Amino acid sequence: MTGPAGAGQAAGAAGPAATAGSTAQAGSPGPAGGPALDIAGLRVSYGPARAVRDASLRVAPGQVVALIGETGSGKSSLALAAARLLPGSAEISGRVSIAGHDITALGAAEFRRRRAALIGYIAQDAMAALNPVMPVGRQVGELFRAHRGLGRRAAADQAAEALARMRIPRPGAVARLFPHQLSGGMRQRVMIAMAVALSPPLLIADEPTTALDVSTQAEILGLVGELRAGSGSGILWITHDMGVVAELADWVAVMYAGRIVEQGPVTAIFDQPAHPYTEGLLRTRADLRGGRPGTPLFQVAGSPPAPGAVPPGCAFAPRCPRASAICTTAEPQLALVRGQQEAACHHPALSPPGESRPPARGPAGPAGPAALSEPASPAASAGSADHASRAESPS
Amino acid sequence: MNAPAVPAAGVAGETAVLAFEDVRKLYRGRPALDGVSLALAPGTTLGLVGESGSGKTTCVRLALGLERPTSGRLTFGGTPYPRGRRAMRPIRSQIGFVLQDPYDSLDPRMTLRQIVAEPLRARGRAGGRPPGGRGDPHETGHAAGGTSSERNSEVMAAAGVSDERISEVLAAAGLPGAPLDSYPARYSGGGRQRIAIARALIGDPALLICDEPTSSLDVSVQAQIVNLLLAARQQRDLSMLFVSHDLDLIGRVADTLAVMYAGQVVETGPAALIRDDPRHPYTRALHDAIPAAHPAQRRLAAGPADTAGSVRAAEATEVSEAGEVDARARAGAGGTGAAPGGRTASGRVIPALAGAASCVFAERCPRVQPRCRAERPLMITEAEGRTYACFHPILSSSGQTERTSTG
Amino acid sequence: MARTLIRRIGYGLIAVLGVAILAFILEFVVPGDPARAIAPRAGSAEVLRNIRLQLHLNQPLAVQFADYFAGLLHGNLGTSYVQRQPVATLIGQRLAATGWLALAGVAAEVVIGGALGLAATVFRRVRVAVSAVNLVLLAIPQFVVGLVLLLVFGFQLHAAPVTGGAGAAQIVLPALTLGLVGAPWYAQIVADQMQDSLASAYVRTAVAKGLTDRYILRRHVLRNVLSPAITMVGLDLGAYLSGVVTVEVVFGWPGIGQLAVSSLQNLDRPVIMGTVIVGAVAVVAFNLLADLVRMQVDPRTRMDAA
Repeated sequence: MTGPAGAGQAAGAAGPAATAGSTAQAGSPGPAGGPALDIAGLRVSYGPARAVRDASLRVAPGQVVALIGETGSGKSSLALAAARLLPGSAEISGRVSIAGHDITALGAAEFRRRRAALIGYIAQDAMAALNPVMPVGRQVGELFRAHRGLGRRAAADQAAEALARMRIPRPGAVARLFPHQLSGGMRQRVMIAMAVALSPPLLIADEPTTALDVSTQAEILGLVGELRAGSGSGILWITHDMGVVAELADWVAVMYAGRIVEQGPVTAIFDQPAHPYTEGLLRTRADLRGGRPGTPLFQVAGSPPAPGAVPPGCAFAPRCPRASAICTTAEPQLALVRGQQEAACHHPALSPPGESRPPARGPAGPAGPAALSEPASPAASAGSADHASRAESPS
Repeated sequence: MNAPAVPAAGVAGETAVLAFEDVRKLYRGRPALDGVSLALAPGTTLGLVGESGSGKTTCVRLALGLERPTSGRLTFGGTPYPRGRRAMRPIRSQIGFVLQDPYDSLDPRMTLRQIVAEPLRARGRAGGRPPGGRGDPHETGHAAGGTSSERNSEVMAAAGVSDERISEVLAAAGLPGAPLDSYPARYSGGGRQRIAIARALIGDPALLICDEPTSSLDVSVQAQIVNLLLAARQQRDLSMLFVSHDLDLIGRVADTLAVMYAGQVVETGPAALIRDDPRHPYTRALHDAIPAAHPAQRRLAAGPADTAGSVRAAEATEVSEAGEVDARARAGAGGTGAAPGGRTASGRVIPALAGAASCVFAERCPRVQPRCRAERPLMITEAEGRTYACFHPILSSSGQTERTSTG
Repeated sequence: MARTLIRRIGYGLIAVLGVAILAFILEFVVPGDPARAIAPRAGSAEVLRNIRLQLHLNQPLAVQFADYFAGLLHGNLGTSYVQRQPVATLIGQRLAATGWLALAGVAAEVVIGGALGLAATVFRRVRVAVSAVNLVLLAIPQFVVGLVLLLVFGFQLHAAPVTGGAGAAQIVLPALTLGLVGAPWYAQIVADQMQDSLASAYVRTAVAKGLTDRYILRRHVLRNVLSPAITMVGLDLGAYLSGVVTVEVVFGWPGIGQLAVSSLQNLDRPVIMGTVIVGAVAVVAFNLLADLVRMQVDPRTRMDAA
């Protein structure tokens, strides 16, 4: 990670990509300049429920940005708004640019013609997101027919090739199958094949592995790893799983109650989470992995506010172990904490909390970090007992 | 089948709360379970782990008495499962369950009071007319009948459940002060699982069966629900059957693990051992599929160079839990001729045929040898109380890094 | 696949047989004496006795039952008490007329109902108007619709022939009657399915792929709407083939419905049985046919064929 961090509100959002050298592919439309995705001041509401409250985010070409959050945090609304896929009932404001094109300014017809070449969208539930009564090959081929003007035969050939690039065995035969005849992993590969078919500069993946087995997830992550290496597309990857983030992301943005509350390079976030919510998620994850069997897990007590009932001040304050008086009155703004890392917190963790570093595991883990985790466990357990009693005792 | 009964996991002289003895279950002639033996020692948690289609859910259905095995038998506290729904009731009343989908497992037209009191109502009627199977996880749902006030009074009369008792259980499940007249629609996924837990606990069951209870929940909610289950287990001296595809989670929750693949138990033993130092290549593959804890350790998405030679754990594997394979998919994919235990181009696992003379995992195993395809491995028992069915197990001395156990 | 088909046909035959047995028993439960219905008004006891003897009406129920079903197994539907012709011939003469009317009626239903349903989903502004039309059509009895059409198009505008025969021109009004009365059901199904489909994740995917609205509607939405509509077409064809009594009577359409009515009035048991059996066969056959077509349209329904 090199390069200066922008200090501006939106500009500071995106650090240079890990694969900063790679540029957008030749096939990408429009000027290659500009970030793959640049969201500024985005707000989305459904009536009184404010799903996204002033979010700004950038994805550089070739960069994987993980957007983390729990159900109702607004991460899916943000992703759908970025892809201009929200229903008409949603009120949206703010600016979204993709590879230098301000898509919020494009007319509907113009955007429809260009969207598949600008954004690849990968849905969470591939079973629902694929048409049940159309062979998957035709669903991929449609893209080539609609946007490349290919005939039926040529489109079918291209579709089979696209499936083959997703490492689908016997792509010609699989192309003739219907979604329900494929396994979950295969269906998700078909989804990805469609998303990358026209080599768009931006991929938006909305929890694409959440519904899959760990082993199928591993496979999809491997595939995305290859894709990233082979194309210059920026990827916005929505998830609630810190493990997926650790595997895939260059940059992490954490969303809570409609706002981005922390963001930064993935290593910085994992090593020194500044926001207590991020810290809680990481500690839970680490405890799940390294804690002693049968002992309580570290947990973030309570639950997030409903989108229509966000409390004044910091939305996380009611669940926060570090909350003070100011947290319930003034809403903290994103501010640089260290390096390129930003957090919206009145009491960010400024020094590296040793215990938040997750223990190493498995064959890849050197012995060193594993040893580091030793002192973590008792602390985590104690913390969790504390939280658990708060969560479970009838008040 | 020529393989002998698998030594049951975790029995130490005591009578197992729940035991499977060489259980086989066929659906349309295809094995969903193939010679499964398991034992759950009193007061402990047995974790069942495996991918979808491995037979976990079939085990749950059998344990709940919703179905009967094709051969072999199940026992509860040493008593064999009887035939027939009525005869099952005494056993069923001692089993609580929490299922995966919190949106599907609660009847949206029942109030919290009705949902939570349900198991007691069924029990109160044990000698009376059958309650229409209400309380069965797969039928609970939408079998509601009668007006709510009618049902309220019935519940009260039949089981003597007081509102205080219901509130108490709900509070213990983390929903203190929840209005008893509210409907599940008011609650989030986590809240609904708490309601399901309250329902599972109200009858003071001896056994709690959890089938992927947190897999559809957010991380922070998952931790809360797991802690709730752990606390309940400790306070009530529960035995638990915990089913999950997440090796991390299950290794954290269970005392003993049983790893399932294609309807067979391929490895069992103390949770920490299985999780940290697996012998069976399949367990290893599951282990390797877990995403890294830290970006510095990433391997899964590291790009093409990394993928060669690694056990790509389970290229797509999905079979309906009934263990069926869509024959058309295979035909459509060009009659692939994939062997039993392998997978088709469409990504579905083909379960091995009953009594097949090969290792179920042979087709996907990186350590496969000719013998694995010619013979079915027997269960090997090691001193630490672990067993595995593999001719070429991964031994810790073979240079594979062990995960440091914090236990 | 073949096994499923054979099993379905077997079930169908059992269903037809069950209906036939039930109808046979009901005929005897219904009060009335066929001999009296056939005999001249002033027929003596002697005449009645002769008629009963001739028609085997004096035999015990069990014997009559055995005789009838033995005949049925050989494809013999018996002979009409009144017209002294084989029932098969009587039905055969009218089957074509009823068949055409059923086809034309279902076609009208599909076209009118489909159009209403599409309009209600695609043009949101007319949704309320379509609901109102649906409600009115549902509320008006079939014969009233028929009579109104007759009055308006037949007698007032002279746009269509009023009665007589089963010609191409004469079919318009009865078919339109069936179409108008059946349309709300199709409109509802089409509208519901369209709404589900338009809100689905796969349509969102199609939108994300930059396909045009018209293409998405044609290729992604309509096919998903077809499946339940096909089931309903099968049900309607079967039901109409067993006679569309009201419409046939109102328009003087010489179909099986009229035959059934007159046979009931005359207690002409063999003809009653004949119409019931033909109706049951039609219902079973078209149901099966609809399922076969549905399997072609919706691959998910092919699952059990493995």
